[in-house]
Amino acid sequence: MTKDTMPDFDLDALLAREKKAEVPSQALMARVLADAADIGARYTPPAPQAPQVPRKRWAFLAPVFGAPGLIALGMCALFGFGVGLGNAETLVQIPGMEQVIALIDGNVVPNNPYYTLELLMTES
Amino acid sequence: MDPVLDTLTECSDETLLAQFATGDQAAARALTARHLSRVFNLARRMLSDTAEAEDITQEAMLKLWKIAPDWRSGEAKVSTWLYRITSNLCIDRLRKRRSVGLDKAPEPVDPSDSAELGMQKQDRARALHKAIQTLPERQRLALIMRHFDEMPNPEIAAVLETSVEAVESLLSRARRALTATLAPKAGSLGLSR
Repeated sequence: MTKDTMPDFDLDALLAREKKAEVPSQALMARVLADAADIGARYTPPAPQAPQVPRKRWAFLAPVFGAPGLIALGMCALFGFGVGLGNAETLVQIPGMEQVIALIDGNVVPNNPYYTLELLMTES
Repeated sequence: MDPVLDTLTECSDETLLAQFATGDQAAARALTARHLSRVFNLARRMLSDTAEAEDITQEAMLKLWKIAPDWRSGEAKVSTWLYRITSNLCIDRLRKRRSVGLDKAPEPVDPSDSAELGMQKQDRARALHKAIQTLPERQRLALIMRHFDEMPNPEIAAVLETSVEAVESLLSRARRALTATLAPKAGSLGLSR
């Protein structure tokens, strides 16, 4: 027998006896974790994403035909109904309108249906 | 036990690394607990110097922390990558040592042995470690991973980036060299059959 195939000592047993691993020191553990904290501070968690709401096809018409549009339409209809109910030939005949015009002009308006026309003619 | 670590023990290395890449420090603690000892002992056996082994371990782990965001899933096992990095760092350190003539590393001594009882045991350990230090780097790495870390040959092959046949050859040559070095001292070291 040669030494290669049958040494006069048991190499495996010798290696097995020296297998005992050494426990890394707490200082090494602390150094490694300090590095991890240092490097990890540069990595940020992913920002939470808002749930995706599917965009509606006719959404762009919402300002006109949506709730604001309907409210405006309702108000115009009421105003028209009020004008019709008062059977007014001019705006001044509409109850309360005289005060509105006076407020805009800053003047006291005479009870003359053609006042604004006369005023226009005299001033021009 | 840390309850957070407990929940992470079932996670794969890749999952933990991905979690660390989002700033999760618990994942770093779990990875450290899992790999620090093996990396450190590989370096310690390669270099026969605890302080140098600690430096190498810290450097290898630092590289792991740095690569975390760029880790490409499915390409390599984290453990294999880590031992490859450690192996390369050890080889670099050994070459640097040689270039400055410092290749006389202190031999490990087990402080728990009493003087008389442990004398022969210490001599045996010293002789073995001295013989291992004379092996070429890749033979030394293969032998340490196979006999001390009990790594299977395919995994050693992955770490050394070679074939399983080449690992078997490295191991065979390492064993022959160790036998040749230790055989003349077998009687005095109490190694004879």
